[in-house]
Formats: sequence, structure tokens, C-alpha cells
Amino acid sequence: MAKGKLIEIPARQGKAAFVKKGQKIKVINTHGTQVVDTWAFNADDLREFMSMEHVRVWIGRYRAKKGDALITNKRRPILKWIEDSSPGVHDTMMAACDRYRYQLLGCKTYHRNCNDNLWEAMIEAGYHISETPSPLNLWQNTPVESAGKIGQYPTVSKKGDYVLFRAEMDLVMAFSACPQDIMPINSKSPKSAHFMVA
Amino acid sequence: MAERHTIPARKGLALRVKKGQRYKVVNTHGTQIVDHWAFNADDIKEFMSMEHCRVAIDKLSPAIGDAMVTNKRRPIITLLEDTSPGVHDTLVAACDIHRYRQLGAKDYHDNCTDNLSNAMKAAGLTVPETPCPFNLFQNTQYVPGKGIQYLPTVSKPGQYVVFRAEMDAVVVFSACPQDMLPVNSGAPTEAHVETM
Repeated sequence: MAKGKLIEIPARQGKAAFVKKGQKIKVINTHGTQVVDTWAFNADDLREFMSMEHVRVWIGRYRAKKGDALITNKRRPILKWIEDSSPGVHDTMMAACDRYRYQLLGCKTYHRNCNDNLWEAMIEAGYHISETPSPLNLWQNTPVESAGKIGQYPTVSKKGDYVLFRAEMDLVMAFSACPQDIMPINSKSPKSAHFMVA
Repeated sequence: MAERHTIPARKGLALRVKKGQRYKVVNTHGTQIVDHWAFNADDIKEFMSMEHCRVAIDKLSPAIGDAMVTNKRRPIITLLEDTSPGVHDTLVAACDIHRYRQLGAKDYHDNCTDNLSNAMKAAGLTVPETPCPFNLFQNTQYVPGKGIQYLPTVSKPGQYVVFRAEMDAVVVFSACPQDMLPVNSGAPTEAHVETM
């Protein structure tokens, strides 16, 4: 891809950006250990968005990977997954973390969370959404094990691993560098990540 | 006293249940999938959410005694009893008009998304969004090398599941009209709900 400006997704925070149809989006796991919750909204109609429960039907799998078209709740392609330098371990099944999750995990005070990061990032970028779609959890290592049990483990990606998407419509991408530090999915040490649009 | 309600073939039904009330969803003909939703009666923007349930129960589908939770991670219904083989789905979106167009339907086709919204309308409510449904009796299995397979149900006529409401709730059901894939054995039928 052409060289774009490298944008930081600060540790424990979110970031959103407009992307034109045909442009490419590179998401970089700068430190290797970080889960990045990812959303995509139709820029012309924010009520149409990438939807994991629709994606799973479309691709015929529970795990999305390179080569897949990712579709919206109107079953139209919004992203095409072009490259993945990591081992391809990502999640489509788990909700974004939220304040309620951290309360249940024992937090007495506010804990940053991917749900609020999404809303903050969208507002900062000038967009108002009406719901929180289930995210594409890049690098999240939560496999389905025996008897349908879901495990939660550190990522298997390396520093600098990246994924590359192509925008199939004008869209707004939002990312959250997941602040989960109680469960092991970010190796208990949430870090920043980066992305680039070109 | 038990009250028996019909979910008409290809259509939806919404019912109000009180906290603590039990309801039984009966697969009357055995071959029917019932898409199921539950909304907090006092705040319709809080609803049963599959992506939150999977985290809460640490598995793909609930076992007897598991509580299904809302997008605020609070229990809304608990699975009390299941006389079927326990094959249900939490991963597949409700069918919608876009799905049937892709499958080749030229005209309007009944679908679970519209059934939800129409059933809620009939109950005087507006659905805030279409949450991913709890697909009762849906037999969609992931087969390595073949992908997700849409198979006929494994339940028998009259088998049922029983839930208890954990808050005042509006519970919604759709007798899935999918007749272009074999999930309802090609012949969508009615199903029933008994409130107890």
C-alpha cells in the first residue's frame, strides 16, 4: 500500500477515522500482545455496520481470516481482508468489554473499556452512533475448546504483526486498544497499537 | 394458570412476563427453529445479548441452570429445563430480507428480523435494534473442512425448553420462515409458548 500517516491508538483508548471506498487500512499490533477491537460503519448510514453475526453466516466459519469479505447487517461487503502477517488468531464471538464487565470482575471505580472507547472515538471523529455492534477482536485469542467451552489466553502475534483491509464502501473505522488488564488476553499489560489509511 | 400461545408458522409473537415467571417454548412439530429475544420491560434498550451471554457462561450455548444476560450483563432469563437434545445456536444472525434476496427470493419473504419488529409493534413497542437472537433448536454445526453446516433440527415433536424471567421482560419469538435452507426441514411450522 501507499505510505499513509501512522496514527496511534493510545493504550486503553479508542480512535476512529473516515476511509474512502478503495482505500486500504493497515492495523499494526505494535507490541504484539495487544487486542484491538475493530468496528466499521457505513459513512452514509451509521445504522449499517460490520456485524459479526452476519459475517459468520457469510464466511461459513466462526473465525474470520485473510481473503474474507466482512459484511454489514444489510449483508453487503464493507471490508475485504487482504493480508495478515500474524498467525490468524482473531475473535468474532465476544462482546466489547464495558463498565458492567469490569464491575463484575470486581472493579470499584471506573475502568476504561472498549464500549466507551468506541463511543468516545466516534464522537471525537464527528459521528454519532446509536448502538454498539459486536466487534471484530483482532488478535484476541479466545478459542472454542472441547464441549463448546471458550478459553481466554494471551495473543499469539509478534511485535509489528499487521492486518490489511480494503474499504468496500465509504466508511468510518473505529478501533479500541483493549484495556482489559484483569483477564490475560492482553498479557495483563494493555499497550498502544497503530493504524494507517492510504 | 398456564396460558398457551401460538407462534404462527413464519410469524412472530411478543409476550410480557413478570420477574420470576416461567415460560415453556414448545417445538410442537419438532422440526421448527424458534428465534428468541428478551427485552427489559422497563428499558427496551437493555436486552438479551448473545455476545455478552457467551462471555458470561464461558461457552457457546447455555446448560441447564445458566442465566442468559443482557447488554448490561445482568441476568434476564435462566434456562431451567430442556427436554430436547440441547442443540441450540447463539452465533447466527436472524434471517432478514437481504438474506433471502441473496438466496434467490424475487419477492418479499417473511423473515425473523421483520417478525421481531412486527411482534414488538403489536405489543405497542418499537424495537431499538435487532439483537442477535438465541436460536432455539437451530442445528448449525461447524464441520472442519466444510464450514458451518445448516442441518435439520434434532428435536422431536413436543420437546420443549423452560425459562424463568429474571426481570420483568418482553419475550419475543419467531417461528423461523427459512424454507430455502434445510434448517426447518424445508417446511416452516407453528410452535407454542406456555406461560406458567
